[in-house]
Amino acid sequence: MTWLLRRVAQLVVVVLVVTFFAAILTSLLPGDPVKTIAPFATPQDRARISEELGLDKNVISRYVDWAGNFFTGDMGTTYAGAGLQGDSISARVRESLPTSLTIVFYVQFLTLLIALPLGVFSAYRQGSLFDRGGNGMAFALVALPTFVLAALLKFWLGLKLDWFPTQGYTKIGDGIGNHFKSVAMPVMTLMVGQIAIYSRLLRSDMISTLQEDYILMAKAKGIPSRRILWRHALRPSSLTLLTVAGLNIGALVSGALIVERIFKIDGIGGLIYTAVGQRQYIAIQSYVAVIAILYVVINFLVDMLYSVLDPRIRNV
Amino acid sequence: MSEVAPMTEASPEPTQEEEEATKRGLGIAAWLAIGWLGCMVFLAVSASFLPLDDPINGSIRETPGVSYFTEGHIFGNDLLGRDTLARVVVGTSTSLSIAALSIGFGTLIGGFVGLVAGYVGGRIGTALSAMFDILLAFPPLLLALTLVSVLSPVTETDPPSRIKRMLVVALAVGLVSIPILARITRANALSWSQREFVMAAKSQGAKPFRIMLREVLPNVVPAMLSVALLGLASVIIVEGGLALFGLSINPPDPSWGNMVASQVDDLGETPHVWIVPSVFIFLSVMSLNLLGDVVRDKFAVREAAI
Repeated sequence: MTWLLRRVAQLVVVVLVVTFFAAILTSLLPGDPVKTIAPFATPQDRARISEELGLDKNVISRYVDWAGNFFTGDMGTTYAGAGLQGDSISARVRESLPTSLTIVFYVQFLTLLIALPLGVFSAYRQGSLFDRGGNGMAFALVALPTFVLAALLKFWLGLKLDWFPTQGYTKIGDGIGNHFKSVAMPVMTLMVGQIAIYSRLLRSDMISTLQEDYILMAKAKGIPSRRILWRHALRPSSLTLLTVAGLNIGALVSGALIVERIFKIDGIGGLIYTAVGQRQYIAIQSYVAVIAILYVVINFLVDMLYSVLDPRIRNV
Repeated sequence: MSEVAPMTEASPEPTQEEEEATKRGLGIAAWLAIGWLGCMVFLAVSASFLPLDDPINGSIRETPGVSYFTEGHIFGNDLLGRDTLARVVVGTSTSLSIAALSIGFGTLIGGFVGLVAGYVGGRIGTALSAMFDILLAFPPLLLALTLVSVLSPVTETDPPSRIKRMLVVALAVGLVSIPILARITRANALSWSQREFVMAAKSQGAKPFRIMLREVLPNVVPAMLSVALLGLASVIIVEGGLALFGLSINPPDPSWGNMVASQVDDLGETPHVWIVPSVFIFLSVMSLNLLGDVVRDKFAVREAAI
């Protein structure tokens, strides 16, 4: 129980620090931040923006104000060049976040679906042609950056073969077939590298588990290999996999930003692309905070799952 | 999470398997990787002396958009008539400079902080590694992206110069790599600090700074080198990611990432313009990953310490 409390405390501290960083981003802008946010504003408008953003206050009280708004769902508005207020940022986030999460969910689900059997089988047939081929392939695939793979898929499957739409996202409500077609290439792009990493990790853990005495015992009792592999060996072998799955969320988030940019999907990555292009720093602040919090929380959940799988961790 | 468990096999007596790995030759793949990277470094260094076409300004005398193996343009040219070979070579020097600068920066700072955290340990060590954990709580691309967009806001009136922009990108990516390098250095320094020769140096009255530099650091270098090689590979990838968001160096200056990014909305037009740098990126990243693994195996850097 104290373990859980400590983890929760850690989570809270990290969330605070991460949001603090996001909140003071505007202070890092060189020169007068208001001038960068709204370059064509009149002096009166500038003063107003400066007050709205709390730029005249000190860092701590500015953070408290910002966090108060942020955690109650008010992320402020975008600013146009002349200092006029634009759309509500929270509304944009609410609209885009489900898209990004859907994609990340598909990727994680399909990756495990494919990587688990691959890893188990190549551990079972260690040293076979399948295993060695898989090893070489995984090595090459890990070296293929997301944006290169995304470009290749978009070029071949989208432009040459015309199987999938090259850009845009269809909501599940607007036709299930079109929905899956629109996410096919982004999901494939992100899956490939993940499958390579996961299946190799699982393989090496499986190989050492399969040398344990209790596996020999199970074999001696005449339990079929399939049952030994899936029921006896998989669970103790999946710990490293989980840790890496947690750490990998970072890579997955970066990847999601990239595929959303390349396939022009209005997820949170698409939002960031637009915001960077239009120099919407106030919006960027909130996007960064949202993603970082998600990332930290998912990592936390993975840690929890880890302790469910391996009771020894709870007592450390 | 923040506590690194003291390694059970702290005495780095190599196991038989590891001993074999250290004795084995480099292998053909590693030599190929070294060869490829050697070529890249050569291109990067000599980019401005080689007899190349102008990478920035196209020539109106050229037919624009010709494909591979056209006379005078082995990799073709783009719609502005700029030679792809020239651009990719200049891009090599940009991308590699950014990679080298940022990993150099990250290794220097991360290595120093990690060494102190590992050797001094105690409260300071715990506090420092808690800091690394917090820095690691940001997805790397997001952090780099935010830093570049904030540190170097482009206003139409004065676009920052190529060198300045390169420095900003390298600084941002370097900051991202600090906690990763600090972590591995700390874990290794922690285990080496317990060894007898360090005790011996201590009992002879050597100053902590001297012990860190002369006794601990040389043993930690292989681990750092291995991670730094992998780091160079990820910087090349992150640069590409930044370019997609328009946050790498400013076009028309070429970098590998920029060349791919400039075509990403029109991949079918002149495919060679993005395929050529993609192949360069792929081969370089694979070579660096391979060498990182080789260094790790050769010096028996223990995974547990990572």
